[in-house]
Amino acid sequence: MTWQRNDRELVLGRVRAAVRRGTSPSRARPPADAGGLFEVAVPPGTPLDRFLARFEELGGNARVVASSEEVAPAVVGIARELGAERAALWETPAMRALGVRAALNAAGVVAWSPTDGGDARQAMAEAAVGVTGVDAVLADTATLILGTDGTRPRGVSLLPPVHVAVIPEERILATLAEWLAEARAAGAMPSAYTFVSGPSRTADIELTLTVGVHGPGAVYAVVVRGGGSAAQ
Amino acid sequence: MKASGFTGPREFPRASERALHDVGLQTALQRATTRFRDGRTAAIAEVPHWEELRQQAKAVKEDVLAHLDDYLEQLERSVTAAGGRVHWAADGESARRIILGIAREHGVKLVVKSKSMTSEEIDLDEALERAGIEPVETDLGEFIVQISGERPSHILAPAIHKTKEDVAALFERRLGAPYTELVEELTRTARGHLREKFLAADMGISGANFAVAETGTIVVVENEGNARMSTTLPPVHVALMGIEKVLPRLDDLATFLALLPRSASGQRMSSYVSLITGPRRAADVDGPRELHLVIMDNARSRMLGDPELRESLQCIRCGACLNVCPVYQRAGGHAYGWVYSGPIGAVITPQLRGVEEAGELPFASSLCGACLEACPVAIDLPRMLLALRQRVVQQERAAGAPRWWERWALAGWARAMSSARLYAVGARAARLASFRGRTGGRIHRLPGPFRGWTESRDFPPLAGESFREWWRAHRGGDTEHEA
Repeated sequence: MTWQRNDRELVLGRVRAAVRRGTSPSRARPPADAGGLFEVAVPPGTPLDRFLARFEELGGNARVVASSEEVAPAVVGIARELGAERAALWETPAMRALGVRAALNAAGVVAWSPTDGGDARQAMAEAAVGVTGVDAVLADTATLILGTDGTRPRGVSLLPPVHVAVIPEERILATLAEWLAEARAAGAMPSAYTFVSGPSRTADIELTLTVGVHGPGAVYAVVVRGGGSAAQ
Repeated sequence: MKASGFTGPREFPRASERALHDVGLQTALQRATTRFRDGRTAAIAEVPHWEELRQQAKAVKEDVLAHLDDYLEQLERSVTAAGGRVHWAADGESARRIILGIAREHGVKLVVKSKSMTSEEIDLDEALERAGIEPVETDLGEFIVQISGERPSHILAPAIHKTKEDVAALFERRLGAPYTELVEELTRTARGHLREKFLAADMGISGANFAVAETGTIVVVENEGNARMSTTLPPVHVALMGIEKVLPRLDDLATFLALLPRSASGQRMSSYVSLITGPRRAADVDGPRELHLVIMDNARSRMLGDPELRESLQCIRCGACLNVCPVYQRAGGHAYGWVYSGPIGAVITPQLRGVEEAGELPFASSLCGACLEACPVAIDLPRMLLALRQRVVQQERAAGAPRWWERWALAGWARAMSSARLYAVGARAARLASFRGRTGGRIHRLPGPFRGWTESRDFPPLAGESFREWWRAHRGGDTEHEA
């Protein structure tokens, strides 16, 4: 379509001319993390302590377990408390090693994960709980960072009303800058990274804070203390 | 739905007057702006290097604008390499045509949209409707104003002018929901209604808070999850961005995501940030099969080429300047008559819509400087408001418009305010002149070209002695600093 081609040259031509007309010289910028730029006032303690404090402030619900063997029982415990009949989960090698799927099924919760195939969207939309790992967690904003691929559908942390994230303690980082440097070094980006900080929320009616408007209304974290090889 | 719902910037004097007499609106505005202001203050108090972060952000934006052509071409290459398709739009009409073309190609009937001011700027919803496509705004506030046939009144809380009773009646009438004033129930109603739309939609349209040139990553910041839905569930995702939204590097997100949520809603981080790089990969379970990025100019390159006003392209649409502005706090967003309101609206609307149409807006400011102080990119809004005032006056004088005297006087006042000596001379002259036309302590009629000012109001007389004169007489004569 010729008009598209024309618009490209038109826009870039105008921008080029404008850039030359504008006189403000570009400032050399300091390196992004020079002088602890991203430092913030934080609660005392380890990254885990700080994460837990911030996560709970956001309305998150955290459980800390001592080893990876305790992850599956913890997830089953949450599903039971919620009376969940269906769950959807990631199927990374780490997640499989934790045995979450088998434990859920044994507890009578129908668990769907990508190898089940079928209508993935419907399975995720009908699940009462979605169980994911994390790529990383940012302690000081209680941000869970989730990647996506064939074993990590985006919908697992989006469509069910409750999201449970399994977090290895060693993946709790201090700042976003740290994670961005990692992601950049890792090369090609996945089709989506999603940052999740607490439950879905809105204050659009009379500024009244309401959770669970489109995404999950409740977020749980199951944190595995250092040394355990947990889900990513 | 109404074709536009905007009153237009020309209406500002009358629309703001009406807003002042709307008690409900005044209450809502005060509550909202106070809440956002306090939230922001608390959030930035935790950040010891706030000022350095602002300067860092400004340096990045200056670099972006100085090399915008290079960064846009780099962005195009990266998005394309990730499997996305890039479209260039010189103006709103071209952007609408591109998006309608993509919709037609896929036989789209239903579009879910996440909040995008850029799409409001080009009346995209109206264009989709005319083409027989149903656009559904999915941010709760945007959804409320859409089904009531209105326009957003606040950048962050679009339906802030509506009470829960208004929303209850609206949902009853438009969605057939049982009447309830419980906000949680109303939210659940919207969730249920919109969930069906998300699952049925043929296309999702989003804006872009940032677009990273080096990786081709589109970044969308939100709290509700509606943007995640709109960019994950439909088979086609179209993102619409202005040319100024590009950032050079992934690292830059650390700076801008430290500034944006804290400045906007006082959150340390918004509930959701999506970093979208291309459409779903072959192995992915979900995500759109096609990703289209529409890069739109729509007068921005003109702003770029204007050394005096280029800085306005550094805006990241956080809304902090609205909440701290004494004029916005009273007038509200609707009074500005178009998409962008508050101090930043008063600067960019005249550039996007023309000084003829939006010449009133630069005068809707007390130049108190609160906007500059609140801006996370340290945009000098007062400076640009003054520059625009002078342009408006020059243009009206050239056209022989009747109001140019008043405008000229205001521009003169603005110049005088920046020079202590001019200010002193002018103030003395004004005091002498104000003894004429005065009864009972009020001035009912100003002379000559200023008559219009007193047609509908009195003018308070100026004190016989200025504060500056009083100060000099009482506290010594060392205060005459040139500003």
